[in-house]
Amino acid sequence: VSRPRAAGDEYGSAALLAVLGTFILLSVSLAVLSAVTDLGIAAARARTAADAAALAGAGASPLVGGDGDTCDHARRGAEANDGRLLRCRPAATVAAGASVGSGIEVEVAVVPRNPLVRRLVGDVRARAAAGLRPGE
Amino acid sequence: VTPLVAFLLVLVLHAGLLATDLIAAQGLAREAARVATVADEATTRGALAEAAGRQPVGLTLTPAGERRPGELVTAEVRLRSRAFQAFGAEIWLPARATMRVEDR
Repeated sequence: VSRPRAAGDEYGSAALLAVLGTFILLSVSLAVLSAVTDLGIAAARARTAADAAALAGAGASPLVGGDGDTCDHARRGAEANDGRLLRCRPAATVAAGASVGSGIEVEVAVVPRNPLVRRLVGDVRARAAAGLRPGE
Repeated sequence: VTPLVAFLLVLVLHAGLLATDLIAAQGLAREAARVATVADEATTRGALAEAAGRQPVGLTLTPAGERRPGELVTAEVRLRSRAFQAFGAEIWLPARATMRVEDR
């Protein structure tokens, strides 16, 4: 013999489901927000490391009294910002067919801190370039 | 249920604000380090305050004082987040950037 269900029981179940659904939605929202934030921070850190590497490399040019080991200085600049130098290409600045200065192009990678982002995206990369001309 | 949903929505909005400020703090640290490579501490503080707008911001430069060309200068920035201020919370977000000091 089944007992008829009271309307109050159904309201209680609906409220419980709504609360449960809200918490699940909230958890998913916060997880996604956390991942997106970490990706944004990693991109900003990569830009910082790339800028630092390019400027350190350009500053080591013999044109400004540096030792000329531009890529080594670029690597140190990247590592000082928790980045890893992937590519370093010293490049001459050419104008009217003649070399008038020197520059450097770098690519740097940083590791995101969020494990989910690390797994989904891997390293976050950024590029930067810096150059100078004699007399500047 | 409605008040709970509204509260959780506000919570998520503030978490979003916190995320935005975290990324902004990293950008400010880069700006501060960039200025510190070519200028003194007072100029760097001025540039940082201007970049941060109305948000309170703190700065520590290492090494302090006079810096020689070629050495590394680290700017550690602390930005006060707008998130959760309505709940009375005061959250300071750290960020750091290091760059090579240039000839002035």
